[in-house]
Amino acid sequence: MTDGRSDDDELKDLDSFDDLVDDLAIDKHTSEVSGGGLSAGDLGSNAGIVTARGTGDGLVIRLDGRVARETLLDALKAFVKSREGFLKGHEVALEWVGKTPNDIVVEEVSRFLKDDFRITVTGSSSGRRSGFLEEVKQTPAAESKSVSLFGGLEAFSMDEEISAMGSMPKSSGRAEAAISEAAIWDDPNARLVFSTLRSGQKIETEHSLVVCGDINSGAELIAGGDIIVLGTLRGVAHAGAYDETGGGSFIFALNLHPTQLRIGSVISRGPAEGGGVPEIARVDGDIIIVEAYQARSRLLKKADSVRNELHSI
Amino acid sequence: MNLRNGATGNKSKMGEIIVVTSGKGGVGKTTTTASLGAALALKGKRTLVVDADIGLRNLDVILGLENRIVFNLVDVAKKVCKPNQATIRSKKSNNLYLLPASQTDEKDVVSEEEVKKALAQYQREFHYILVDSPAGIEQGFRNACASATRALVVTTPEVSAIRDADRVIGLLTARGIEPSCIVNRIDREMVKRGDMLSIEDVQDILGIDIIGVVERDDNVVVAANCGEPVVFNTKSRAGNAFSNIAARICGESIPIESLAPVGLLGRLGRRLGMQA
Repeated sequence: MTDGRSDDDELKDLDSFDDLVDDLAIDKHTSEVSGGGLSAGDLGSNAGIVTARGTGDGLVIRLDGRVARETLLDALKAFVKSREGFLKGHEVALEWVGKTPNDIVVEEVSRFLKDDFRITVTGSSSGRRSGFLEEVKQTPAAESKSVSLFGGLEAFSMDEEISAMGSMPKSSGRAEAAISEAAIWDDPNARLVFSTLRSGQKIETEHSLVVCGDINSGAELIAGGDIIVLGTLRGVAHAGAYDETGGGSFIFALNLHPTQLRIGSVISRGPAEGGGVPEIARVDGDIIIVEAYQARSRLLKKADSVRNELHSI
Repeated sequence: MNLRNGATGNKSKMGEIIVVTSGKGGVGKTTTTASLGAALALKGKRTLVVDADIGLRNLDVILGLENRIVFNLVDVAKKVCKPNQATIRSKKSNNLYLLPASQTDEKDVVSEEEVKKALAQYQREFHYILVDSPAGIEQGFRNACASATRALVVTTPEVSAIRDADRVIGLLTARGIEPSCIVNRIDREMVKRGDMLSIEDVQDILGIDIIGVVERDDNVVVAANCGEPVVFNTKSRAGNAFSNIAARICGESIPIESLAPVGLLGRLGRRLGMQA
């Protein structure tokens, strides 16, 4: 397709669905999300500090507000330079994750973008979601891939570290009694659907989506946030659809039997066997991991009933 | 024959329009329409079967009436002829009439409104009007659904057919038409081996009432080529299944045939009065 061979040649070379979809130019998200650190020293690269996502209204540039000013500007410069043609002369909105810096820094970033790249900043806000996943990943204990999105203790220790930086109120001494702030996510615009979706029907929302019903094969769910299906998911579900990183979104179903799962820009086939237990799918790096949903688990437990399908495309 | 003042004092409901559709092609819509029409006629109900597959008409062949066609649905819709000039009475039953489709036109030659007005002219004279829908979900399908209040969604126990049926059910429900499902060409041996979806699987996915199950039967092919609906063959399992569906349409409650395979022991067991 892209390298000038005839379609017939391509078909002969493909011996599996994997090959076919590899050949399609699916834009896998770059290393920009995997990694990131708190201080300039910890940062191997600028990965994670600056990312972007598209919304219905325009482009949003996400910046990690916890990093030092120089590091931030360097990362921003690298980010914009690699997309100069695309961004130059356009309007963007800024979104701060981890911590919203003071106005002076925001001003500086805006001016920097305007002067050097003719990019106009239309607004600045704070968003926490994808920051959360990175926070959890940064704890040493969570170094391995086995990180649960609903982690308790890991998120807790992160919380205290952030508190130490002075951005969140410190819950000293009574930390165990309170629920970690990082474990709570408000989505007042989340959509609840009380119906089964038949083939050909589609629900689209920029926020999270909960469906009390089945999603039949041929139906589609597209959500900017998480997707929770209280039923059987047989169709296609796309969580974190407006964020190339997926924004930490997950897909949950009582019976996960999808045609395709998509989180952010990562696409995966459904697993071969149907699991009889509720399962949750999320992105790890550039693949989607499906595991049996366990309400209290912090780490990925390997048990007989756990199904780890790493069929990724 | 004025059926409105029935001698029994029972004013039977007149002019119920039922569309037979599927989404997927080739699953048995025309066979079902012809067979149900014949079965209803055999029960004494005046039935009109309408071929809405304009351009690809088949219902006339299945009923053996292809060389008696003078006018068709399009003519009635465009008011080229009178309604009763276009209907053809079946050879095998006085209660069964056919309104054929045009073979030389295309599906968008008539609109939903025109079809609605055309069919309305027959409602006083027939107990049931069965409309044979074309495959697909475009104008032809929409025309066929034009005045229907009920739908029979025909599907075979195959993944592709079921997905199309699911789509169609969604479209019908959105139009306010109540769908029931007919599972056609089910093979009990294959279901037993696990090679074919079972009735329960189909019901699980589609989530609507199953009004009938028709087993795969060679007699259906023979009947189609002879131009005689299979219900006239009392030895045919499919024919009997269609008769049962017709009875259910009339409101009789007949349990759905189970597919419990009848092996040698089963047959002996039944003979000896034991449960199979």
